[in-house]
Amino acid sequence: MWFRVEPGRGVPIYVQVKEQIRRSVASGILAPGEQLPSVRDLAVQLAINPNTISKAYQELEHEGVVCTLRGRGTFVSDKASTISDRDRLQRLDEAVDRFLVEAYHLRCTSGEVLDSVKKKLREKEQKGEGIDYAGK
Amino acid sequence: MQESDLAVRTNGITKSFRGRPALNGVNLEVPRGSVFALLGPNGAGKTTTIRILLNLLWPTSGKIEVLGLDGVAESLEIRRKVGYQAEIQQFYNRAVVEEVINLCRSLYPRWNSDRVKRYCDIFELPARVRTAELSKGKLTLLGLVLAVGPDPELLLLDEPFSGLDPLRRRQVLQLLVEEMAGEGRTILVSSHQLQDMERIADRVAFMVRGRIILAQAVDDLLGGEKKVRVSFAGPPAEDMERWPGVRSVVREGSRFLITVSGHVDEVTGKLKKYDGAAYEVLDQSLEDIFVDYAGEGLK
Repeated sequence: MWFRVEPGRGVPIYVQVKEQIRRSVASGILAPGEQLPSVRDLAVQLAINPNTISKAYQELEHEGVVCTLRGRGTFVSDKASTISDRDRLQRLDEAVDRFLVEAYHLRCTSGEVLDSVKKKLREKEQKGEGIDYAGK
Repeated sequence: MQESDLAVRTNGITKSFRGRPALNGVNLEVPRGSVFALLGPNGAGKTTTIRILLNLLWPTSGKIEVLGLDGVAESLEIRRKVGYQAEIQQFYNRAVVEEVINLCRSLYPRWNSDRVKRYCDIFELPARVRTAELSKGKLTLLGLVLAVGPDPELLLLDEPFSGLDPLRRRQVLQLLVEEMAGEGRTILVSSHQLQDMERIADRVAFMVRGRIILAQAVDDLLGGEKKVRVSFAGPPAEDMERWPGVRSVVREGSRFLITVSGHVDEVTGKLKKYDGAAYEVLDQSLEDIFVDYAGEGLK
């Protein structure tokens, strides 16, 4: 599996790897239950430090995106995510905070922000890419 | 850090060449099992430091420990456990590649012939060609193969990408990643290829004028060193230079560019209190950070 690693972007490489795995899981490219490459294989392929891959996998596991089975490997979590409701909502809050900071700097009104979110949700549902996790 | 957790530990190494100081008190701590990148402008003392670790040069003063062994008294033992790739490769010009490899094999208690063969194949090193006829890039690659041959606990690499094209550079990076997988193997590498160092290093140290001016985990460094650009609607904050972590404040017309180390949330928190202040946080690459620190160190 190939991920784009861009040294020089000013973003730690483990964060870059995490972002791409999260994105692939969210878009369905990586299916629940699918096995990710081993730390060593991915490190050699991308020519990056194995500790970097380990760190990305560990954080993704902590966030409930993947799970590691001892001796078997790392897999994309299935629907029964291990992440607790409290953690889940807290992480959503943080993401919304970042989004609102962006909106603030773009001088958006509350109406524009809400309309944009609703429009996006509608578009995704129409394309059959609704974000309701339970629906998948 | 526990002593046994360190592959290299130096304390206040100084070295002068004919009274001219080259190292001015080098303190290095390289954790076992890590990849440690030593970065610095030409003439900063990187090669001198590496040679002192192998006792190829004597320090003027200071204490050196490599793999728990005394850098001077136990240097022969150290050399058996360390693979070293020199910045400038010098071989017997009339010997062919194969002969150089066989000679090196005879110098070490252990030698991984399979691995050496594999890397020679990957790098397309011609066994029967005299070293004098090899290109600069091939010499670099030969030096690297010889350094990993003894399955060393510690690899000291001085400019391992010198003279390599992008394809070979990537192959060397992959070789190093494979080498890292070895149990507890430590790599200390000096290089000017900052993007490659960002790929493989756990920690980096900036060396300027014979001193280590900063040593940190790469992820912490990239996560902590930021620039913040701000424009104020009203009168600008006056005491920004004294805010926590602020290294410099530069005026850019009506805006300010703040360089901040490790306290970016505090800085943006303070900026938020200024009515109508708009700011953006800019990430910095390892190269940006290096140029900033090294440039300051050379002032």
